Amino acid sequence: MIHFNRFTLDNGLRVLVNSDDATPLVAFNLLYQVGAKHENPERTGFAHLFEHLMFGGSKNAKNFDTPIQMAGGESNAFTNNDFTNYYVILPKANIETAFWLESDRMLELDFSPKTLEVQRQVVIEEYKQRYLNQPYGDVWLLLRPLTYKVHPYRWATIGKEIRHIEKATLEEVKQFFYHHYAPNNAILTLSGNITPGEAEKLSRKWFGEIPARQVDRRDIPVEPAQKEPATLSVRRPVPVNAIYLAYHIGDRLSGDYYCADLISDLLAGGPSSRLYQHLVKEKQLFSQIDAYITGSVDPGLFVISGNLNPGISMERAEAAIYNELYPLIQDRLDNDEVTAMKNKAESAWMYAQMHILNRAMNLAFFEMLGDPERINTELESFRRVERNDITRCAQTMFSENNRSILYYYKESD
Amino acid sequence: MNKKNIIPDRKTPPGINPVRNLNWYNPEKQFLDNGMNLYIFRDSTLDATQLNISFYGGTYTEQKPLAASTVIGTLQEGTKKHTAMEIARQFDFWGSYLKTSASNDNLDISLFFLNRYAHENLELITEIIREPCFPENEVAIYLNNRLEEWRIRQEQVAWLSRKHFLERIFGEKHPYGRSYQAKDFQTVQTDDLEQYYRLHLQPANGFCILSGNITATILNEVKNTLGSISMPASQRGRSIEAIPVQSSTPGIISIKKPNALQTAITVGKKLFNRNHRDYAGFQIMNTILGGYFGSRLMQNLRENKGLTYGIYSSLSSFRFDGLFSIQGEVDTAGRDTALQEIFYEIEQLRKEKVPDHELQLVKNYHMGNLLQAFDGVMNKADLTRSLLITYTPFDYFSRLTKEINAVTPEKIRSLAQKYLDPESLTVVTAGPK
Repeated sequence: MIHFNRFTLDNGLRVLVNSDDATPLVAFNLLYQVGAKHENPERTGFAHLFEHLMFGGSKNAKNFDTPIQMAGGESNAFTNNDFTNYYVILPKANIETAFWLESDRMLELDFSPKTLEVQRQVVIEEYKQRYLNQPYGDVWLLLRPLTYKVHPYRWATIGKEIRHIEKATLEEVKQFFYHHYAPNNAILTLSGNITPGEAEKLSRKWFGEIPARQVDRRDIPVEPAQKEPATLSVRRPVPVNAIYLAYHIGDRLSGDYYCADLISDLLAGGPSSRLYQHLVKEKQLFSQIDAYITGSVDPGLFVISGNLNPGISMERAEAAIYNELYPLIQDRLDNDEVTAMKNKAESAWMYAQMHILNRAMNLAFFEMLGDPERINTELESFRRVERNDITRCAQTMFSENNRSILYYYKESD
Repeated sequence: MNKKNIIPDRKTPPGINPVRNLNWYNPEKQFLDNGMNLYIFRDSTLDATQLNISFYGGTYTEQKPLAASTVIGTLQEGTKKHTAMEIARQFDFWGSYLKTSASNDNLDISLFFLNRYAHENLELITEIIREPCFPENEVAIYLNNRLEEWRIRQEQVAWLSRKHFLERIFGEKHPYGRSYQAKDFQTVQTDDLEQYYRLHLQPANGFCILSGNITATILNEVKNTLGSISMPASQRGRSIEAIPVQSSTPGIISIKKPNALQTAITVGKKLFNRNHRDYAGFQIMNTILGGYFGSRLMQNLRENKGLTYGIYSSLSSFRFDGLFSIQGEVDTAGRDTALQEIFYEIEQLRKEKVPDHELQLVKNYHMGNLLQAFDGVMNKADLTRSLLITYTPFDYFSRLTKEINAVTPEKIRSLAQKYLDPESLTVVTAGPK
């Protein structure tokens, strides 16, 4: 059971505190409800580029990282399609440093042309390092537009193309800040050695005076149901052929999320899972196979990906995967398999909740979804899934018209 | 409730209390009957346990390439009593996570399990260690999959540059410098695995660490299971001999990787491990140079010039040596500038004294970092394992704390002069030119 206190400041900032005096540290997590899905389709990659700029100094603190390091702490951030998340971990005695720095950059960022120019280059190098210069690094740049036609999940957080990042102007940066970075669009969570009273005092002191802002909340288009199968074939300088199958699933709050997650474990969540046992071990069609869900807020994807063994045709590999999906659709599962996956979900969840940073991040995420109490009911939601739920979910999900396939061929084939 | 907001003084940063003491404590130590050392970190709030088991040797002691990693990687692929599938099914059914890995100096097993299945997990993990049978078909599948992974890694500039770097530092025949060839995946045989297994996976050649809610029942189970693995008398008290390193080759080489979009750079040399008297001072110097986000290399190459997404330096501890290295992937057009700036920053450390403010910052950062590394019993277990692998006594952290606090700007400069002579460094780049 994770205990937490929750309060809201007058400017709309929501604060959640999980006190734990077994650790000498405090994790400070600030989530802004802005991600790549809130971007202009002509300026993709902006939310992520902006995350880099957030470390370029603010009105009263010329440098963000130096005071954190001086205080013995560590900080970082990530951007995804739904939100941008900043965190600081500090020894408990120095936690006020995080309040000072994070509130100052929420109040007013230092919009310096030099920071924009340098970070633009850094992000371009990141684009190359992680997406273009890695074998299979561009998979998500290809899969997103294949699976989403309308919803902004159709582009990756790094952006559709480098050109969008090259074009960003300082004026756009300012607009973005004032439209999205606001106390009323943020969630602050604390986990670790801090009392709720201290947390409230510090939150009021540092964040209380920041004015609420008009947040830009455009409607995000809903992805219509897929009507026919989609495929894409590419050739790349990689040594091994690979296949990626993606199926649309429900949103994060739908019951199907839990079913789909358990199905991904049944298929590839451990050494006894079906795809691994049958296709890697018995038939030896793949050298590696995986199944997972994207876990996004809006309707997400269920993905199966595999690297083919030499000499195995794409057709054979694909047919073999379908063959493994039938038992789920036809309710031919073993009850032990379902129990196993629930036990695995339990130990994975338990393991993750040991870390204060994970707790702080999860609390912020569930608060964003509208119900922080989910941090305590999440496990129960997995336990409640029955065999017939899995069958029903598999039947809906694994239909041909709901499927997109990326065939990733090596150039020599 | 009506609370007025206090207007904060934003111009003045909040006061800072540097971390002075680390709450490290030594694990409880017990001996199992078969000579295996057992270490315990307790946390009664968890309903789960992590069991770490390590054996000395690692790839350092393998006669045939890949023997060590294949032994540990296929340990759960069948015993005299159970098939790979039966073992996989059982661990998955109990919700356990079993991971195995091989490094230079050790082979590691980690098993995370729910306490309600403690008995079952301990019995099965013991069986796997006591009587694996390395079935030929399972080993063949394992090696095939590793080969396919290896072929993908050949395409990564960072990996290529690191591989050639290690070869030049330690020599391509030395275990710390050797890299595997495609043919190695076909030549390792079951006999090689059995031989490696018999020599190195022996209770007295390893140790285990329990962390979590370690009840008396669990402890008793451990004694009855892991503690009951017997070993032949001939295997007791084996020691691992250091293999001499032929001289390293300094200077620059460029590995061509046509069409790569970036160039990976590795710069460094062979040094010492954490038991050396200059280790703490060098660590502080390394942090200043490239060991954290605020480092000089990161500030210069990333935050000022935008040449890279990230560049880091580190001093890794092996059992018999240490390795200092700087690594990053840079814009190919900026490769020469990047190299020039790397050597500029090294030169600065050799010429100028580090400003007091920067040194204080790095010391504070280091202490905070250690505090984080100790947080929770499972992190403590990981650190304990790394100390045991390098034969480092547990008072290491209190010594380190004292030594870190004693480091002066003069000391940093003299260490840079002593160890970072540019002529002594090996540079490898991998990219399109």
